Amino acid sequence: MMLLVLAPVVLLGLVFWLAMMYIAAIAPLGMARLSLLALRGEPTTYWEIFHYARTPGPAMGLFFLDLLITFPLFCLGFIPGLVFRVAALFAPYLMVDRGLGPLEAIQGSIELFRSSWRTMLLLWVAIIGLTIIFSNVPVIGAFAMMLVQSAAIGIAYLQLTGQTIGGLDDDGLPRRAPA
Amino acid sequence: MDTTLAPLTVGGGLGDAFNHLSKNWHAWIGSALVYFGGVFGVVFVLIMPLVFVGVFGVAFFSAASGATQTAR
Repeated sequence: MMLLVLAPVVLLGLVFWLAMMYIAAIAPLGMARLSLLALRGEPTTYWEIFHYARTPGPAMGLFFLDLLITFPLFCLGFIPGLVFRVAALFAPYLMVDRGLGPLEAIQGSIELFRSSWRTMLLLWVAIIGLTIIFSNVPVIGAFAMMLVQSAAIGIAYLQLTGQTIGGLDDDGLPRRAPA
Repeated sequence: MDTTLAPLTVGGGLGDAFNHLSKNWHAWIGSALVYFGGVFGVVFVLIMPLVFVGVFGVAFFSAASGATQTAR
């Protein structure tokens, strides 16, 4: 009798785990898409974060490749793992922006990171620090910081690739990054 | 005509992010709300109650079988 009750629970746990993994895989690409569209001043829809729900292949590829590289690095130590996490931050943006595959995107992201690694590491530390501070604001603190983090990384990506950023000035003119 | 951005700095990057979000929040907030609403909705409305029913069900049957054995 107990097995009859336990079986659906285990099954539900499995479904839940798979669903969370699926969302964890597609959300970064969707967030990168939202970030790029909003930063360029292009129209966005409410479903932008789930844009890759029907074509999750590349997102899944990036998710597992990330895990495959990050896990051994974190086993080596906290610093190598953290540095790789920051270096790979641009991978979803490159996949969305240039249609690269997961491996090419990680390689491209590392190249971009190397061009200004000090600033990117400090920016990441500042974002984490602000997230810890603002998480004390109930409900909206962590939520707002997720958006700030995404906007800041999107701005860094557009700046490092010499692209135009819109919606920053009162005059409404886009600003161009020095190439 | 485009105006030129200063090179990437920590303060500049974060400042631009806050600046951008304060002026363009409407472009972000709907999408982010749909995301959180979707995930929390699925977790708390659909899955968690089922898991609780399962866990309490197991506890109930364990207790019931324990009681039966004690009675014997």
